[in-house]
Amino acid sequence: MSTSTIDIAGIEERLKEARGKEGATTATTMNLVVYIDDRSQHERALRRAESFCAKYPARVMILDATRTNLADVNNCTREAVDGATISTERIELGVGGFSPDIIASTVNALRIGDVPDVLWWTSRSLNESGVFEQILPLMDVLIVDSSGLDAEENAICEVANFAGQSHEIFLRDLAYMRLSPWQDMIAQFFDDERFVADLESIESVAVAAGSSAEAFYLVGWLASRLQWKPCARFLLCDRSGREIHVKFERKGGMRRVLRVALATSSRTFAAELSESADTVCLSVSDDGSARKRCVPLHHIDNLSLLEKAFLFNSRDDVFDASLHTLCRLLKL
Amino acid sequence: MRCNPKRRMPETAAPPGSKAAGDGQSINPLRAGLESDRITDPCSIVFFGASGDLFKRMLLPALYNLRLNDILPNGFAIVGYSRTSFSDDQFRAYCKQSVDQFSRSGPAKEPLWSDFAQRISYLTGEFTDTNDYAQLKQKFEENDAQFGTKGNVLYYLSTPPQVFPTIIAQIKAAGLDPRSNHKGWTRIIVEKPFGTDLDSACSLQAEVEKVFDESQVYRIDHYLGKEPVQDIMALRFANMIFEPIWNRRFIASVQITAAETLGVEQRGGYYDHAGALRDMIQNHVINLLALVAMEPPASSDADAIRNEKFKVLSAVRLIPPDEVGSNSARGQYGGGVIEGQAVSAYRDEKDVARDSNTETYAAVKLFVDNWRWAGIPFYLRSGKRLARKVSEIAVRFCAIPQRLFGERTDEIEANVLVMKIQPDEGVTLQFNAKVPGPKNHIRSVNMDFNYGTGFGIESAPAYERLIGDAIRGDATLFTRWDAVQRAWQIVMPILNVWQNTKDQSFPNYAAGSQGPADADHLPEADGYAWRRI
Repeated sequence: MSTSTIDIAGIEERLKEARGKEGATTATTMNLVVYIDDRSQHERALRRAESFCAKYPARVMILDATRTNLADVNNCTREAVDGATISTERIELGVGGFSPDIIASTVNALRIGDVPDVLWWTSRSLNESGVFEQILPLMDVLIVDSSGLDAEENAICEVANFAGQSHEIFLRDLAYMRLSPWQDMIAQFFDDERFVADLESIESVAVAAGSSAEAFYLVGWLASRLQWKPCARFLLCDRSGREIHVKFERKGGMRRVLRVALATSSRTFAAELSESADTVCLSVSDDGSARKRCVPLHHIDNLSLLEKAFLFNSRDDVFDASLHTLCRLLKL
Repeated sequence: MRCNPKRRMPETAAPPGSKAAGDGQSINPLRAGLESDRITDPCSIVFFGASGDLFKRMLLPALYNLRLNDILPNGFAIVGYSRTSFSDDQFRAYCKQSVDQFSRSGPAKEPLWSDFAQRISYLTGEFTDTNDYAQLKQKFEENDAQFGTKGNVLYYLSTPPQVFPTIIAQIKAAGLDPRSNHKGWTRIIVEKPFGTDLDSACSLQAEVEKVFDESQVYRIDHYLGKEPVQDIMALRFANMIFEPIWNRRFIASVQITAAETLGVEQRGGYYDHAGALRDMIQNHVINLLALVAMEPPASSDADAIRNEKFKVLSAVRLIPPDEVGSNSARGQYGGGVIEGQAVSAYRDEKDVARDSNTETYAAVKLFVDNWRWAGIPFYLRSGKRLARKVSEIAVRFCAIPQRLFGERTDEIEANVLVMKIQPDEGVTLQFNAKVPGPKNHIRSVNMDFNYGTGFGIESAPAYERLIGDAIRGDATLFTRWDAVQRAWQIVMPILNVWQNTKDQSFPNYAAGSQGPADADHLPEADGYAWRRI
């Protein structure tokens, strides 16, 4: 592992040049540090960081462990809706081969002071390289995405272990955040007083999604809210000991939920993505009759999720409880 | 300032079917910890004047976007009421056209539009005929049964203001008033202007009071729904640094400007009977004054805020008739050039009298006689066909007590904090800095904050915010009667003098200029000048 240093003075000089050339930064909302150590995640992570920076004036540091000897600096400016100029400073560093303490000290030196520090960790593991541990104390928000990885179950349990420790950092998993409109839609069924009691007699939960993490999280959330306990792998039991069968179907695009259905012996509550993909139709069917209405599906694009991860700065107890329940279910 | 923050339920999961304290209703345990902007109260919304321009351009697109953003309650229905004859289907087609043409989110999207459209219905009726209103009763029952609107009704008066009293009286006569509604709530949104002077406003209020309690009346001033206007309170009361210096000891004067480049467009008939003092100063600009000068409210509750706004307006000194000349100025635009385009004089506009005495520019100097502001002038101005479109509040701080820096030729400018409302939205602080070099030259520099660059989030148009708030029952951004009345009391002495004296100098400013030169005496009398528009 290289112990040589990264040329911070050179980077700062180039930042200054870029500013002079392309317009001054008028406001900075955060330091966003993106860590990439997987070539398959590389393009996707860069695209997301790019679209985020198009909206928020920030200093973005991309730590690319798949490359070495790279120190690229640029200052991109874009016009906002109201005509104002949004200016983002982007520093792309090839950190492959550098020791974790050198990477962390570089991040520390290049941070803009007095703004929140957000770490978006795209690696499949939190602890493999040692970089995570070194950077973490500098950060206020940690963003991970358990979805779309080879071993989503392991990733979720690793996130659960991390959440179980007392870190002074707000943890967000994009895979869980992606579910928030679905959680709201499922809750909508039982806002209707006629159906609240049905929550006590649910016999099965079926989730069709393009990747497992979202489906797992949805079940973890339902279980934590309804006080269901894991009693075998993919089998939950309610407070009276009755079994609730869980069915996962892998279907559709990655990181997309297609359908969620909760069934009692007499009714099925189903939320299903429409063909247009921006609307979900909710239906309650019983005794051969069905009532259906459609609601908009919003804010599950990557930019919205990152925004939400950054703007919501408090601990999410429901996420913690869902994660905890889910991990117990997966470990059985 | 959000008064009703996002609904966020307690995060502890309750067992399914447990009861909420007090109301006996079952708790939905899946709601715990979920955040939602969706309004919980269902309702029918009735638009009187639904065939008009306001409904087509602003109100219906606002409702559609509220639906698109999942803010409207699950149980809602829209009823159009107007004299124009439409079937339900024709009206839905008219509404779709309105969304396609004017919605900020682009043309209507399926399948959401169909779901939205089935909740729209239309009633053809005269505003004066009680029998026509009776159809509404049946419509509400249908909506309750079909869409679960639970007897809640929101009326929206989007007709010409002269019809307001008639509609309100007919609502009562047809048994559609709040006291006759035993199933849910009844509220009314009243568009501006609320009266054309103090007497007519009091007469209208007398009609309103016969039917509605004050808590059921939402007097809309769309200016208050603009995000930067709401940010005035956030700037003042979410930051500690401003409050200690927000008083007569540190602030020398305040200028509030609402300047437009537009003329009267298609509104000549209305405007020629209104003028800038009624159209802008009495409502928008005085509301800005209230926000900038009010005391901190005890809470973010609507009434706590509105109490403070009324208190500060009560402290505004009324201008005696013989001092109107020295404390106000009026103007009317002649022809000129704006943004390279020649534009015609006000008196040549459509539906404007050729010898019109109506002011298209009004400027007023006011004082707030309380401990915080005693002796500090507030300069208010608004006009059409000015050099630039700009709405802002500029707070000018006192001069430094002793000069330490700067060469003899340097002007040491006073600090100015500018709250920019439109077209720029943000805050600018002007302060002095040393010019680099061996000498002690001091120059004024600006520190700019722009909401667009800071947050990158597009604010929702004012009508979306305000309609949503009215359904929620949050009246914070609506004007209470006592404040409306007080605003009329403030402008009436000026209005009386202006109505009774023809200004022989009209037109007295060129379109595209800074306004009438005569207005300069207001700040100049105190040693200040208008900020350049």
